[in-house]
Amino acid sequence: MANEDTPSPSPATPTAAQTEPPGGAESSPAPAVAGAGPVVPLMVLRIGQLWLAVPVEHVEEVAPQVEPSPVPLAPPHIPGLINQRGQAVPLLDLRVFLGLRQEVAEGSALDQSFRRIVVLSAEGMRVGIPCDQVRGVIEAPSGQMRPVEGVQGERLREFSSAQLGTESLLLVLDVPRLLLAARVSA
Amino acid sequence: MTSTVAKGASAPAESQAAVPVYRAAEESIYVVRSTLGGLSFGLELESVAGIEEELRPLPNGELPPAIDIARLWGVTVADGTRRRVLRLANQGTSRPPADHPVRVLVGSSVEITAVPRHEVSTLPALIQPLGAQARIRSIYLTPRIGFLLDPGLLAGAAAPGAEQ
Repeated sequence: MANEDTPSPSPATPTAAQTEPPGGAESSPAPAVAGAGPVVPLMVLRIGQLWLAVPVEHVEEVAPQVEPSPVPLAPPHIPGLINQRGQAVPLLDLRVFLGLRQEVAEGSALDQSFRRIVVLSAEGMRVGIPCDQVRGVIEAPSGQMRPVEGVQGERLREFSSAQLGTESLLLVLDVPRLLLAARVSA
Repeated sequence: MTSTVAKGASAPAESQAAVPVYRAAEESIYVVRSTLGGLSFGLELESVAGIEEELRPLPNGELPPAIDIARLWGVTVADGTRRRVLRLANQGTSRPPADHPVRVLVGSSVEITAVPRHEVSTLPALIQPLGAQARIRSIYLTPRIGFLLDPGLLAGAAAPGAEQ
């Protein structure tokens, strides 16, 4: 996995609990909570104004944003393919797939140079997730995962759980379930 | 990229001789490529019997049947655009008779390029089912990502009674 060298910008204006970056604006890896179970490394990323996390075990690479080549007959949540080190990798637009509300999906006017594609793999599939910022990796206690309630996005609840071990709520994506659901059906 | 060699060191002569200067022709395929609405696609040259300037009427005045890739993929083409036609080579007993070749309506320009075989791959698992729906056999990566059409699936779509 590539190291992420994105500088820390000013945090986006939060509109709800899950739009807060974990650990505040200048987050460093969060300490594990004693007695909360094993620690899980999570990569924190931002889509629009929404902060999400993915388990590092599913992250293959963080790549610069590139323009995808469109795919004929592809559903709207698959905007195209990118050539990632000699392999065609489909992009998965979580704004569309998770049904994020417009004001959340649009995000803030941060420098576009923060934008990245996070390449994930699970269930024999590889996808690139376009995101507006990659914050880095935190270590979170797995024992503090909770079911998600009352979050933005019609389908976000279906594919995430809440991580409460950090200073603020963080939604952790269930990557295998997400990719199986996003796969084009025959 | 430059490389450095330590003082006194010298590369063995046989290792220099083993460096390939160019790839052998059999390591590439030739693709008849076109574009439509930002989508790059093509057919392997051995599947194409001919390239026609446009879809011309038959002696009886009717236009010959042709598979329109723009229609198949839902791509909008400006009115009046002259479209090239690829005539598929006869590919076996399940194909239409030779006097009714399968024609494929592509974009306004066509070019033939070599694509290294190692840059041709199957569709990624996430979108694999789209292959049959879009009549795609594989993906090529250079000079940009494009889709290699499956002549068998195209011929099947052109068979009498098949839905295009």
